[in-house]
Amino acid sequence: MATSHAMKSCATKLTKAEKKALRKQTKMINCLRRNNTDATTVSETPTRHLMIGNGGLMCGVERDQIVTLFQKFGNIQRILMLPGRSFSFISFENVNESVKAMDKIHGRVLESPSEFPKPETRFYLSFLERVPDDVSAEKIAKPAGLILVEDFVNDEEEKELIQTLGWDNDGSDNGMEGTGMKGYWSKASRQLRHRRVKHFGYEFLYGTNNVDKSSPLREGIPAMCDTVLNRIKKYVCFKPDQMTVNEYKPGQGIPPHIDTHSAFEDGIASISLGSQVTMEFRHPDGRHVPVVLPRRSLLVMTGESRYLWSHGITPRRYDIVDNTTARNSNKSVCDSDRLKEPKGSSQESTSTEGARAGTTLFERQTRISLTLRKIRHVPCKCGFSAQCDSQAKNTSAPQVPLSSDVPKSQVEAEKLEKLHVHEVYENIATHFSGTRHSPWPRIAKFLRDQPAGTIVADVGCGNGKYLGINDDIFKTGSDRSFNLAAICRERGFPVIVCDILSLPYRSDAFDVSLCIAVLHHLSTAERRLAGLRELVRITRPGGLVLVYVWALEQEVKNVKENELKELDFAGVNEVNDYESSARNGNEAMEKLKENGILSDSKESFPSKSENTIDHMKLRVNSSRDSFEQQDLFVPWKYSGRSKQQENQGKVSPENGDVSEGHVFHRYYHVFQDGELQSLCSHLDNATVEKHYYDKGNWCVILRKTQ
Amino acid sequence: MDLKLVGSGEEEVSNVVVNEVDFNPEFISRMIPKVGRSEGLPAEVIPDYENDEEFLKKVHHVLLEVQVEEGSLVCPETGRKFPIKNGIPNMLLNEDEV
Repeated sequence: MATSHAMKSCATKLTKAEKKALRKQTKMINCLRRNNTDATTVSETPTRHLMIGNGGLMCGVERDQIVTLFQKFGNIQRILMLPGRSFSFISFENVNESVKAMDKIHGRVLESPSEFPKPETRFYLSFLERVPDDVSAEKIAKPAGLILVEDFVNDEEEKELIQTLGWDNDGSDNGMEGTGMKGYWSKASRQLRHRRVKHFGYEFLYGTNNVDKSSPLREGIPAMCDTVLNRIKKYVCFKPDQMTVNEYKPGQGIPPHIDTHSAFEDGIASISLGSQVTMEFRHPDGRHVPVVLPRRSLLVMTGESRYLWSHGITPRRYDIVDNTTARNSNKSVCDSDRLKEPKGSSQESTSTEGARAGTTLFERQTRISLTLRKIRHVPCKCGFSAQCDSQAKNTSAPQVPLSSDVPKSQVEAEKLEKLHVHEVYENIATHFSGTRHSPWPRIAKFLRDQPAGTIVADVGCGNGKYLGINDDIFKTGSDRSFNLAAICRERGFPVIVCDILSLPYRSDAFDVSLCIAVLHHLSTAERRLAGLRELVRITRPGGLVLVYVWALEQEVKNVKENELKELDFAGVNEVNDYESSARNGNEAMEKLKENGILSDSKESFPSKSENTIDHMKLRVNSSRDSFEQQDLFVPWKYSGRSKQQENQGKVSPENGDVSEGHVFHRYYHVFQDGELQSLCSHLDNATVEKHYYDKGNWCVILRKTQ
Repeated sequence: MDLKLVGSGEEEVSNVVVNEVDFNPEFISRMIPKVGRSEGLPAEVIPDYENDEEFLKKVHHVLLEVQVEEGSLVCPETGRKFPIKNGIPNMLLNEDEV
């Protein structure tokens, strides 16, 4: 039964199945249009290129399965599977072949397992003018200082290590019966939420993300590891004295983190046993590099890759890997440069082998990792002070807000902002920056619309996400936070550290002043107005000031989830894909409740009669999707830098201080509808040109009049 | 009041780095009227500078390529020094200066 070709008229009577196929086809094409702004166009007439709807990596389809299913129709020239897509692309040598495939496959339930392993699978096909380029082939350079040694341990060593150090399926420790080590293991072995872990040499304490250097465990690293340790010395110049064994079942992971600088020396080694896995490295500026750790390989993080980049494993069952490199495991020493070799996924090969090469899914097995580190006994002096706990000026920022009133004086306001705005951002800068990748479209458009040669001040520029937009205009940034300014600087943007209330710029110097998500951190109306006045002062007559502040009115139901994420509403601020993102915010709240800091929800929603009094008290906002009052604290669940957030397991009694340093409270004054315009009406040399609501913010564009 | 740029110590020369930036004559031409007169730039803007590539290249170099890594900005009136560290000027004032 032949189904209609793409986009053909459906005026003739169609069967129910045909209608469904057509509907699905249209849906897939729309999906393609949404995902490809310019790359692909659907063809009305048959071509040799096909889009395979439902045949993408997102649907759990593997490259080899596509090859097996489609190779009987002809010579496959190329298959393209893009990460995060539910469709894939296939190109045949000629049109006859792709038409055959269309007729035989489109909309039909595939035979299982002869055609496709998963039962009830249907693919929806469309002809395409052309297939997009493989954007995944553009690899970002790997982290500096990263060393990957393939085949570091052989099969026998691997087996022996897993037998001795791993776990039985019933959860008990393997081996070492009667050695007296059982008791010690029961203490140092833990079931974290995401994986099982045990420690040798020194116990790693997830509460502090450090080790107690004064009390080494009775037993050090087992002697059987000695040969391995000696081989590691070649790469790290010392013999590790602490070992952490982790077991990752398929679907388990570890959140992105940087190993605490003050805890361990430069050179962190990790051996992968039992399965390969993809480890994600992230730079504070937003760069993201997945690195495949083959089974039996050694990974060594030194320098920048150890101190500056975070690393983590996304909890999932499959990794998207480039099987041209995954297969290549003969080389014994793989310098990290090899990681960025051009991949073969976009090559135009006529062989089936060529079609099989490219991005595909790798199904994870149970992986045991041995992390080998050396305890550091002197403070860390690395060159990455923003990430370094040894060099942090103030490591003990307040984790819970003091019972505060809405400030009544200048002195009180300054104190509040210092504690709950300035110091918080200084402490969370890297993590904060990691969650601020994409500019908001409307602000980006505003910048792109400025004529060439425009001079722009971005006051409170954060990590500089607007400083890179539009090369024809000159932008300079400023922020109150040294650490955020340092991130801008690292990204190559001009930046200074200053306060919005005394901007060190000449009057009338800028054509445009930008002030995004800053004014709501000022704690009195006078100070918010003073901030506005400064913005207008530095802007030339006729120039524009764009201001964004958080809105009290949050249209959660109308706001897409990712927009909420940008707003990092009430602590929902985990980096991108980590599964527990939503939960962390909740957990933070739970902890506050446990500690009696946050009253029960009944009490934290003041009844109307109490309103006037209660609004003078600052509270921690406890709702995740609305603001309960205008002046409040918004928690930031910190993860990253030295604070590994491995403490996601249950809080055990002996680890009661687990939340220490993990939740920061930022002060906010969220603006009511009309409040921002009303504030602007006090300005005698600027008029509101436009006001609008954008992604949970109230926004104004001011024009300076004189 | 324009601040004056000095080295990081009395005798020290400030640590200056030069990062090459693509030369864009139109962009630089537009910048010139907006720049205040400061050291390294001629006191008077030459006529017809838009077509003087050599001049534009000099301005381009000073404005976009020369970056002070370590040093200070000094207020000529009060003598207050604002330190530049790792290429970032710290323009924060103390409480008693506000």
